[in-house]
Amino acid sequence: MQILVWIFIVACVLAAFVYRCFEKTHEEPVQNRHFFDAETGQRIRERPYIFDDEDEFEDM
Amino acid sequence: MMRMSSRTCSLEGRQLQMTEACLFLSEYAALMLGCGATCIRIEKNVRRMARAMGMRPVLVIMPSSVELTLWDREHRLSSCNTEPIHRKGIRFDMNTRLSSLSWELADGKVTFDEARRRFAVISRLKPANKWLILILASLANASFCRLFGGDLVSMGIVLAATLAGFRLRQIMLEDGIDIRLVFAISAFVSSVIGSAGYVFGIGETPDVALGTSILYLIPGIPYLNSMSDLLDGHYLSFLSRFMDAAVLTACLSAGLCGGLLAMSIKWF
Repeated sequence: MQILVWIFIVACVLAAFVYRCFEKTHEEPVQNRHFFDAETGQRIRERPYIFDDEDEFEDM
Repeated sequence: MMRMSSRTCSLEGRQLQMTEACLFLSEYAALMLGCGATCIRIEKNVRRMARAMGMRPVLVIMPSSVELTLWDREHRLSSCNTEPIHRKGIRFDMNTRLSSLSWELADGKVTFDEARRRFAVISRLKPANKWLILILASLANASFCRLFGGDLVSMGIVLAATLAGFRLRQIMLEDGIDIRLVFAISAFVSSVIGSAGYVFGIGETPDVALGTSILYLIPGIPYLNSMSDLLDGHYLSFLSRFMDAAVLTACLSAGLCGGLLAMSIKWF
């Protein structure tokens, strides 16, 4: 029984890995929440403030 | 009147300069806090750069934001900014580059504009190769098993358990799953695989293999940083970091207990 449970859990993990391999990968975009331009070093004037709970503000 | 006008222009110019410096330094401090630097390191770096620019900084570090007030030497002009923390995870490469940048600005090797440009480049650095981290973390965990007296079979079990658990953690974090759930599930999977020594009766040290299979999840750096903040008197930051680490430790303990229960292994 113990062996069956172990094999079942490992099989589930392997299935998740295999599924992930064939799933379309999505790269995390680099967030553009910076004050300064990487080329010139000048401050970006129209920089919007972005917070982690931004959605809550949008709903208001 | 003429003298008054020229003095006003000079003050306005100086004020603008201070505002620019304040925005840069507060952004810098928020990024350092977000990539896992200790409070004492952030304070030293900000003070170093501010003094090089002829200003006096007053820094307040909160768990989720940084507040910086800059004063000029004569204590006439000031600029203040509150910047939310930029969470990047533990990033030693970023941390080191930011510290180096503070020295370069303080030593006059780079101008203020050049420092801001470099800062922008550093803040856009991509994380290290995830596959390399996966392999190195797995090898390190297997080495821990050996250090605690595990045999070669146990080391192999720990290597496999860490590879599976760590990769699962990477996948779930990429998918934006809550980190507490991620820790519990990863600990569950690693402990189940780590119990192979008990389940199949292989190896001489199955207890060491099981115990060390989840070591990679221990949030060691947040614990160390919290102690550094405690010694430096930053009690809010200490408590915040310590509680974050304690919650993660509780989650991985829950995952480990779940794994032991699933495998019907006696706890004591």
